[in-house]
Amino acid sequence: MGRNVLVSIQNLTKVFEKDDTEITALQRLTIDVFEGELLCIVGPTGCGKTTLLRILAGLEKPGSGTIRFEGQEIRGPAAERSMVFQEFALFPWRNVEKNISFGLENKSLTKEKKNEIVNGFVSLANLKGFEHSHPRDLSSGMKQRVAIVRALATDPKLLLMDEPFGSLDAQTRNIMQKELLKIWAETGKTIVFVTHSVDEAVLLACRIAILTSRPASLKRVLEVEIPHPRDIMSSESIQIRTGILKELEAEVQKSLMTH
Amino acid sequence: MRRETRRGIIQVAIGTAAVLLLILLWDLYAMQVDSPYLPRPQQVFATLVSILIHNDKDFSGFLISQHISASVVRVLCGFGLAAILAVPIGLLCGWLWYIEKAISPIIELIRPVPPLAWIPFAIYFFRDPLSSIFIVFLGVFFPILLSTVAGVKSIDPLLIDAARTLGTKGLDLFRKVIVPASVPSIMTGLRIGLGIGWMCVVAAELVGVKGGGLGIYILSMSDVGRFENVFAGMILIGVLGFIIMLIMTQLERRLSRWAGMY
Repeated sequence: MGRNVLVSIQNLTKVFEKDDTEITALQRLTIDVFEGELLCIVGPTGCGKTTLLRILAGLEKPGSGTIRFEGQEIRGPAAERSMVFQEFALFPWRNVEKNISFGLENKSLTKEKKNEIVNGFVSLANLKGFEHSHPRDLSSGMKQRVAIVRALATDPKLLLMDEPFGSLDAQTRNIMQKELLKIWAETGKTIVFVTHSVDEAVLLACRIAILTSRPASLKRVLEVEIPHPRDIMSSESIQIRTGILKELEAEVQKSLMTH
Repeated sequence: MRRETRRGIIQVAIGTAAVLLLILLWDLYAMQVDSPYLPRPQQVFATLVSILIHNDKDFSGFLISQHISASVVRVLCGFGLAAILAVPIGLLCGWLWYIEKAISPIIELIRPVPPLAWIPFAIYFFRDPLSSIFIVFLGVFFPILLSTVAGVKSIDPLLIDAARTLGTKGLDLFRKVIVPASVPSIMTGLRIGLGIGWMCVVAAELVGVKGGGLGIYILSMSDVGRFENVFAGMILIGVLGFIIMLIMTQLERRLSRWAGMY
């Protein structure tokens, strides 16, 4: 893995105004995202992780500070930075195939090429036989697999995942984590993955960014050098996990004192 | 499934019993008042069956089937015109706030005026087929418009976010997300609108129409004191309205299912 910086975030501050009160979601957050890595972002609930992801996607405007994607300022959403949502956000009137091809429709590719891409992702996500099913007929794990490959189909340079497995049951979640690692290994995409589960972060991440409680800034970045597939019960994993939990606990304590 | 069928049968039985009870009360009351203006139900139903079977030509020279088709055509024209205008305007209003801000005061001023109040204007301003269609149009337009606007506004913002992060914007976003996601609400608006349109048709026919119509039929029968025919016409309007509703409900269900709602 190279260490080319794909996204550079410096002193990013974001303030929301709501009914005359200002809420600072992010405060002077600085972090780089490297090409090809799977970066997990953990932090106390409501700390602003989702805001960060939405700014990266271009769905929210950054406040002050700079945020550069391949050296360019991010102006609005684009298919090169696609996003996977916790609630799947599939188009209910489109079947699996047509959900996956949604982002391809704007691209000038031949029909054959588009079909080829869709078929490739259908197999990658183990969705063979369900191409013509509608979201309502899929299990939640399948829905999220559709959402992931839909986001990958446009061949983005950055995949943003906002607690994508947060609404799945434990069993499905385990399977999905393995699937994601498989997809990541096969596509080599850069992934920024927001989660509130420390276990999940330890299982998946190349690096884990721990955010402070709101307003979020970077508390610490941690390299996880255990090779995949990882055993969450190994002593190394447990050690990392315990360390992160301690830091998070301190953050939660802090937020309880101030709020 | 068997349990559901049994339940369905019970439901229909209760409904039928209630209707029969209503007819019985009607009959008792009609006997009590013994007035030519309130015929007894058996007279009315006999008349209804007779005009339908013989497809009677009344003294104005129209067959009952012509009255029915004239009313249906008027409703469909007014409804179609209203739908063609209200759905796109509603979609735009829901999508672009400045269009909504421009249009909503106009709408809020016109909406409370009952379609009936437009009759004098319609009579003098439009010619025959258009004047009655205009009244139906007024009744139908606003429910379609309002539920289309509500539909666009209630679209899950995540669907729009998802589409945007997949590189979709502008007109494509409108065409590929806003429109299909609004289909269930549009269908609800169309169903309600068509129901109101059917209710407006009698009023619409007051503007002086050529070629018959159920409203005309009722009025002319009332003028010559044949109240069993008046009531038969009313029942006909009710039953046809009910059938139109059934068809629309089915259509709405199908399209809503297509759009992913149950």
